[in-house]
Amino acid sequence: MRAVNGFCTLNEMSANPKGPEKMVVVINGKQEELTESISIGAFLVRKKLDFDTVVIEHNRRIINKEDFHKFVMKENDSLEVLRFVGGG
Amino acid sequence: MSFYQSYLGYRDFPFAQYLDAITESQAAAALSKERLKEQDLLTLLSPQAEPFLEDMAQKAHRLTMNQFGSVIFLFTPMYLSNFCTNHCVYCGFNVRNKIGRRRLSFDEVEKEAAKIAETGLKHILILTGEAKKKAGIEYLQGCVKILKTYFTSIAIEIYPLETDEYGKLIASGVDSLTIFQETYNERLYETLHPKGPKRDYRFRIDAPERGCMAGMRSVNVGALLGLDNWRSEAFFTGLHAEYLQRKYPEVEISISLPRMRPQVGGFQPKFTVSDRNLVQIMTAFRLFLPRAGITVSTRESAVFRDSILPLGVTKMSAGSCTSVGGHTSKESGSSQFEISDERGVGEMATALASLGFQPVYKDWQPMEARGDESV
Amino acid sequence: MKYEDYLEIGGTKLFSRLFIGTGKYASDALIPQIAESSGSQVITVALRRVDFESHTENVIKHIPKTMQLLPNTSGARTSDEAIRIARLAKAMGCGNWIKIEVISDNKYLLPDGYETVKATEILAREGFVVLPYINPDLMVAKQLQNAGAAAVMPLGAPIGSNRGLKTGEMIRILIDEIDIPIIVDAGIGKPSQACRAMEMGASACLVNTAIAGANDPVRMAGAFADAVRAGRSAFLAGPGASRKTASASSPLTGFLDFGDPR
Repeated sequence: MRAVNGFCTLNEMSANPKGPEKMVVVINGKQEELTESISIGAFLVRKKLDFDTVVIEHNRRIINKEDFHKFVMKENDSLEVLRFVGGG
Repeated sequence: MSFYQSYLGYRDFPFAQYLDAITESQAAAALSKERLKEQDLLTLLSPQAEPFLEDMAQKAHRLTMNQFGSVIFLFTPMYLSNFCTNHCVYCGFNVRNKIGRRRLSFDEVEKEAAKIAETGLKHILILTGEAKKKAGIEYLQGCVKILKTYFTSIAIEIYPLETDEYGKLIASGVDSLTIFQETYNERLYETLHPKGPKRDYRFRIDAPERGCMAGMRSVNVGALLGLDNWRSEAFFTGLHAEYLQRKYPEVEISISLPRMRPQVGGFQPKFTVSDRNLVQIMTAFRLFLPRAGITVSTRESAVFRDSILPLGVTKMSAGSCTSVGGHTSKESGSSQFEISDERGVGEMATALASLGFQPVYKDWQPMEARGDESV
Repeated sequence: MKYEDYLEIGGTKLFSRLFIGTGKYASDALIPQIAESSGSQVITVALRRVDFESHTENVIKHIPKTMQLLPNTSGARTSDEAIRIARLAKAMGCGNWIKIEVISDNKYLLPDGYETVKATEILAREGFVVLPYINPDLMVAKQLQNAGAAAVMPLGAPIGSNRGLKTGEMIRILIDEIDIPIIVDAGIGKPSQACRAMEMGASACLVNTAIAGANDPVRMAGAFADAVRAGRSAFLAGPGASRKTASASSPLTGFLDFGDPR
């Protein structure tokens, strides 16, 4: 499967024996270190977030719920994880 | 979308029945409202509103004072050409009337303009009959070019034009448009205009809007009162003005209330509009559209014009002559209609001042030097 | 036949003309009770980043499923930011309504009309049901109407000030001149003020601070519901003529009595 817009698909990941090292990404405006490459879906699960209650922007692109597992984070990716809160 | 659609909504409206059924308390309620709707205008035009005429006048006066103050703008009409291809049964310029036909040469336009300018007037209204071969766009552009060296505001009252034609005249120096529907009654309109291009009701009713689209600064509409029942005519005039004002808020909208006057051809209007009726129309209109202008021409007598000044008039003609070249020449060809108020500008100004009004000759002046605009 | 009065926005019939918010509540758990006592069908929410350390329960869980969600673009200072937030809100899958709030004034929280129009033009074209929040500016409202806004939301007074209809006269002009619904938002501090807005002819009111900050928010929500209903009924009933005797120092139509020369 071809990489789409710079994202790595899971298949491509497993095809690369070296795999990514620790990498720095920006999540909700804060720099974070990820010890392994991880899909957005897996990231949300790890943070105990219900898919239905968040919206995701990956590198300024909105990602639909169905595609959360398809996108894997790479070095310097930027992720916004948002939810509805009280407001007027 | 065109005003014609709004007209169609009311074309078959049972005016007589509706007006009959209005109660005096409804009239009182309409009178006391701050913002009038269409139905309120019609209510105030009904016979049941007549007992409230003084109340309407007082309120109209207050509104006029708030919106316009004691200022009355003066202008004069200049007839450029009375050649006409229409057969309007009520008009002195009807092609079938055997009258002297004239068209001013540019020299004559200049002479006439100079004469008028001596009075101090800065706003002029130019009129023609409908004869494109005699007085078409190019001729008009030529006249406007001359006139703008004498006057700061040039209004036209001619046959209806296309939007781009209005645009050409505006580029030459015209800023105001006057065009009367004569009668808003579509079926009656056809019988009054048996032949000639003016027969096209739809083209004419959309002309004010085309003027707005082309960029006219002010647009004046009205019906020739007497052709049809004045209550419905005044209603449609009000609707037309409101439509334009709402859609083109940047344009100054005003109405005129021309009453039929004796003219060559001897057409007798079917309906009479008494002075009382005219006052009712004027005050009802002022209450319906506080910000729209009201123009009164020299069809009306001096005494009457003076009396209605406090009721909402914003613009008046003075030193009028409805014959071609009438300001300068005695052999000027036939008049369109008989004038009633024959006062000259100076006399008018004095009369206004004595009545507590300030006559104003100049409202605005175009900023750009328009002498070198390509026409 | 009973006459049903409803407000139609974005194809949805609303029988309650009170919109409520979800901000500033002591606890989100109050929301279902507020929703019930207000009878509201439209409720606003905001979009914010998840706090991974302590993420509270999603506010959506407290909102009755029957209510129409109206996310706002609070936080946006430009049209681009508002558009971005709107698209994100839509991606949540709770509908396509959006309240555009573009505010770069932190002192009074007054909205930027120009940026709001720009955002509305784009979002309306994308199929959003756009409800823009603005100062009661007639020219801005006309531009929003032309841009395809579903309604216009003029403020009564600055957000959170609870000062009532300070902009009443200007809102009245909007009601007269604008064809799309006028929903008074911000500044309504008391039910009587909401009543007055409805009496003037507003299509609906949005109330947040006044309910959230009341001693008994649930009861206050009910009071607002009553007030909005009363104001609307009064408007529909049409107030009668207030008799004013003309103070005529001198009659203006006396000249007509001297015989009609015609």
